Amino acid sequence: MSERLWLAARALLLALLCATSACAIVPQNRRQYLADPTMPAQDDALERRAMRKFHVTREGAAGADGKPAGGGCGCGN
Amino acid sequence: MANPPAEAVAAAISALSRARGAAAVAAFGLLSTVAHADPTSDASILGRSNDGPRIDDFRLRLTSYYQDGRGYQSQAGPVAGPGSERAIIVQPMLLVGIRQSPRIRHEVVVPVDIVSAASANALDVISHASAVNEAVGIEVTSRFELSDDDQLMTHVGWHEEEPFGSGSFALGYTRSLADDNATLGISGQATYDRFDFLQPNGDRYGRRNRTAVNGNLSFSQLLSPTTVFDASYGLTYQEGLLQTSYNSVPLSDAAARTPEVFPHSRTRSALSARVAQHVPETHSTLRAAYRYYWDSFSLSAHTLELELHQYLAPRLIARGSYRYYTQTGVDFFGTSVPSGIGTFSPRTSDSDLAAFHANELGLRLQWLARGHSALDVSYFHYERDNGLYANIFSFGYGESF
Repeated sequence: MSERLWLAARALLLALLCATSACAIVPQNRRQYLADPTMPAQDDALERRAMRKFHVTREGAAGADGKPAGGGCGCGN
Repeated sequence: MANPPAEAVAAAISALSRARGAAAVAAFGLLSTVAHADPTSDASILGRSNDGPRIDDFRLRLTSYYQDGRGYQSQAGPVAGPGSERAIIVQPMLLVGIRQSPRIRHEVVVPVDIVSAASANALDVISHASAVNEAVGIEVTSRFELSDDDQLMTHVGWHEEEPFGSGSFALGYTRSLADDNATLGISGQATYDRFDFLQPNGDRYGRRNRTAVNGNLSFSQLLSPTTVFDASYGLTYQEGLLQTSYNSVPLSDAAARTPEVFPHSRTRSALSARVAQHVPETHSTLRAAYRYYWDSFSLSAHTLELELHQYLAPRLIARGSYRYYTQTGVDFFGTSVPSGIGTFSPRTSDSDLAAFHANELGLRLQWLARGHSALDVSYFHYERDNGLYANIFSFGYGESF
């Protein structure tokens, strides 16, 4: 477990470094492709919710997506 | 002395009359607004004004799950198992986005689950395969833009089904950095579940509860004019009655079953990262995601997701997706236990907590209609190597204003 926590801490540190050192790589006037409907990291909120419900119910792993595991459904997962 | 029922009737008529009057005034006001719309006004040129609350997003989704398989936790089969895991679930959902002001927006989601046939979600449908169970909830998420770079989020949720009720509250903060090239987010959520303590034989021993607290860190970064990267870490701590109390485990030395038992608490962690790459030359977008999960039940899991979005026409998008998932299973899983096992010794036969690999293929067609509306239809096939499979159909409609 401690190795995994250390791995998580390193990944987190890397993420923080990336974010705090964030530079303006892409100026506002070059973001037309980033605004494409296919580009958001997550699709439609309701579709995402429906599939998440299925995966959380049928698989033992949940969490890390802004929602706690084990809440909101009658299963033990 | 006036007759009380007569007074009540008179009051009701008076109230109805006032309501009609108010409706007439409102209708007149609306007609006046339409009649006097100035085509050269700011609102006409820039869009709707932000004078007050208005609905800016409306979505409907209907998802159907057809699932079948066999698991040792199910009683819909021989005593020594495995039993049927067949289930049909229909889930209509509604989302309404409400723009309260230029800096405040609310999103209301109402999900409904209609579960029929054998289900892990309710005892009655395990013992009576044709029974039906319903669940309903409501979730309200509000976002407050504190400044051009800072955003606060609150979330309140409530869920109710036959043996179960749940409430949740979340708070989050997001900061944009470097001219919106990067975003850093932190959020926390608490969930309280209360449910009947149902036994595998149908007996009820009052109510029990469990709580979950969850913290998340996330960040995203624009890597190029066509590339976005994001990553997150989540930590969840659960405490209380964590098992599904009506699940059971076959006894290895008797034709009987014993209730499933979980440890009293569980700590879960997950790291995830994803990248999206647009290819202007082919009008395509590729997305890839990876997630690593581990918890205090000795369960670890890897998830890999790949998606290809392809424009078939200027307003028609096809999506193909593949998802691979593998988990090790919890350390107290078994298809049976001896009858001498301790009352509180952890055990489960739940096939969802066994070691398995799962593959999922998905196809979706989305039509972006004129006037900010969209229609989509999708199909997913999910299959585990321990026998469970599911076919999922989903239909969505959305309208932005």
